[in-house]
Amino acid sequence: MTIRALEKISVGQNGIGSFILQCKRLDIHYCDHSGSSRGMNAFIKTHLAKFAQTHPAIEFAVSPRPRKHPVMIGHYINGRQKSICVANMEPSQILKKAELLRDASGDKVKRVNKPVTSVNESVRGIWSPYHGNGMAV
Amino acid sequence: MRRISRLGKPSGARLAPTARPLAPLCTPRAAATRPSPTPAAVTINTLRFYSSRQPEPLPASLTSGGKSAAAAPESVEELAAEELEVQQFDHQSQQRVFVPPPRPSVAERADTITDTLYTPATTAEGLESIGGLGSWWDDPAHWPETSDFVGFKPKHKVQEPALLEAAVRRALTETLVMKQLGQEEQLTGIWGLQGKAQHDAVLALDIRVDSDGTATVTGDLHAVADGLVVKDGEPNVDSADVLPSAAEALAWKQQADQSWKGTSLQDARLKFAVIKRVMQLTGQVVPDQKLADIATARGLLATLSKPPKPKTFSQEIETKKQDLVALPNVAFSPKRVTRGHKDQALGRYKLIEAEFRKRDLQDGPLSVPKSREKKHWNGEA
Amino acid sequence: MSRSLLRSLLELRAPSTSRPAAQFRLPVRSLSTTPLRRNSPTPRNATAPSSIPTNPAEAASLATESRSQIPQAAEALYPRIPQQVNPPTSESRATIAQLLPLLRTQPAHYLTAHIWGRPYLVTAGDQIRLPFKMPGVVPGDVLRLDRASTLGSRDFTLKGSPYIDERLFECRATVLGTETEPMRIKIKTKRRQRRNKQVRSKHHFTILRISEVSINGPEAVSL
Repeated sequence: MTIRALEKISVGQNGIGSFILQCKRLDIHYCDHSGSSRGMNAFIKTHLAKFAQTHPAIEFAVSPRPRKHPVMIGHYINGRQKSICVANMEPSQILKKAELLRDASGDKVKRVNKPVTSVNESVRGIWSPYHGNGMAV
Repeated sequence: MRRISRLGKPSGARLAPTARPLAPLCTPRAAATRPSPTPAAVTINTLRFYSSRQPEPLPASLTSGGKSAAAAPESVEELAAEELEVQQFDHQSQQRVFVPPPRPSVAERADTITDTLYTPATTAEGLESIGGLGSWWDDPAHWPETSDFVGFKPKHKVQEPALLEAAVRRALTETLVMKQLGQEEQLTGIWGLQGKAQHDAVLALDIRVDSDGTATVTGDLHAVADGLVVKDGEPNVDSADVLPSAAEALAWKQQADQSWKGTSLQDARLKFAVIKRVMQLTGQVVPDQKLADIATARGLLATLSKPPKPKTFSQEIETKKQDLVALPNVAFSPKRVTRGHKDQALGRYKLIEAEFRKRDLQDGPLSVPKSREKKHWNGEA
Repeated sequence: MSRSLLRSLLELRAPSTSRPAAQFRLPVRSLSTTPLRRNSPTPRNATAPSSIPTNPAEAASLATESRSQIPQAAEALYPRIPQQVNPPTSESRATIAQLLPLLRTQPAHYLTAHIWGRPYLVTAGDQIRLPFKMPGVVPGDVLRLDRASTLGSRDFTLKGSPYIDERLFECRATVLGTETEPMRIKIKTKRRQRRNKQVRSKHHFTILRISEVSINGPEAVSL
């Protein structure tokens, strides 16, 4: 008797039944004293509370990292991470980076040429020359 | 490198000096050339203002001819007086708990040795090493807590608004009493620290403020003034007991008349005396750049009762940004999050410790010991 | 049979080609998507406001009936432009009434949705990588795609000229997020110049997932 793999019945597709944000956690690191953290500290003071409030699905871990540049690290459902160094940036720029981490899927960036990707079978079937009335040449 | 000796300096509050004006502080070198006071005049109080250590005579080779003649004791009487002084000093130093290190022994200089058989060594090899303090610094018995420096300003600042208000009122009343009694020279002196009875007596005095800000105190002024002037050997009272408790101060504040806060502090001597006394009572120092802005007692109170600025950004977030820290999806850590913390959060830390214990590798937590020098900076053995 | 039906549907267009203003003709400026903000930023476990439906079916009704839930910014970016439809001819009315129910009964459907003038042939569950970053949308937003040029099943196809009446179908897409691609470096050279220049570019693309494709009966256009 041969071993047969279990047949895959369904494929998980985010956004069809329910939508799950791919970014699950955002680590925010700053330094108390360094000048490169000035923008980051201002961001934590002014923008972060509102941003965290509007994104309850993301866990925000804020902790200092003395003598290091400020960094934001996004952790994603697929287990990957994406980190951005935000040294010497303005708070508004850092907010944009936080939005970038939120919007990312966590997958490796790759070039895609086809606009539509589908796992469904072709609706109208595959054309065959042996069926139908045939073609007059 | 020789370490700077940490001699316990006697303080004003602990030793309760007289309230005479401060003499200029002298270095030991200057003290050597200063005419020494008579034995009867040497008290602990004078020692507090001059030097805590008896000046040693300088080596003959270091002093030039004319100068050494002036500094060296000339007559037998003077020598005897100095002897007596040294004895008295030693007697008093026994009362204090500070134990000085043994005197370093100095070898004779090669050019002054008359022995003809003496040959100076050219290398250190084979020479006996003598002297040195050994582990004297590390013996905790030499550093009892009672020998610690006690400053004029208490270590812990008083922060409660009611207590601050009571302290300012007390300082102002005492200063006004001294001024009204004509004891102007006392305004720059050191005042004693009495307990709660004195505090209540001072606050019981009535202050009447005119429209131009001058204040008059009525009541038993002499009793208060006597409590302030320090006599020799008066028992010292800890600063914690000098002020009432916060609850008592609050009760006093609620029923007290607020008009005294309009008292003018434009007089520089008055302002200095009040601020000095507030510093002695509460440990609060008014920064120099704010001194000029203080015109009334109310202004002084406003300067003092400002909450201290947070030292770091982390502290600021912790204390002031509760809207961020209190969010359920925000975890804020004021300290660096290390691998150990992550292990603890996962429950892996216990397992690691257990495995270490099983192999007899590590006993106790997996933390790195702090540097030994750090202990020395803090004055620990 | 299928071919004959398809032909019959195609023949519907014959009169429309003679008349420039066909039954489904629309002004170009009405090429727009209608974003509908579902409970996108709200958490999976947090309590969403009761007025915002979490069910796509409810969201559908919200899109067509009430637009009060849509934020001001999205309203300004994507104004609702009603489709202007000329009254259908008698032939097309007859074909729709006769053949559209047959198209509906077949199981799988596809449509060519147009977003900013570009066609995307999609079925339910497909992922679209738009060639631009759509402004004003966040992950979790639901968009209604209301411009489609073709709509079909295995054997039937309904073609619009250029667009199909938006009342005949409902197509919704969920915004999944923004993706990028590796940075492109183009080296620019000029003849007889010993310098070349590197031009770097990196674009951001909005990702959509078609969450729903459904077709309404002829009664939707009161036939």
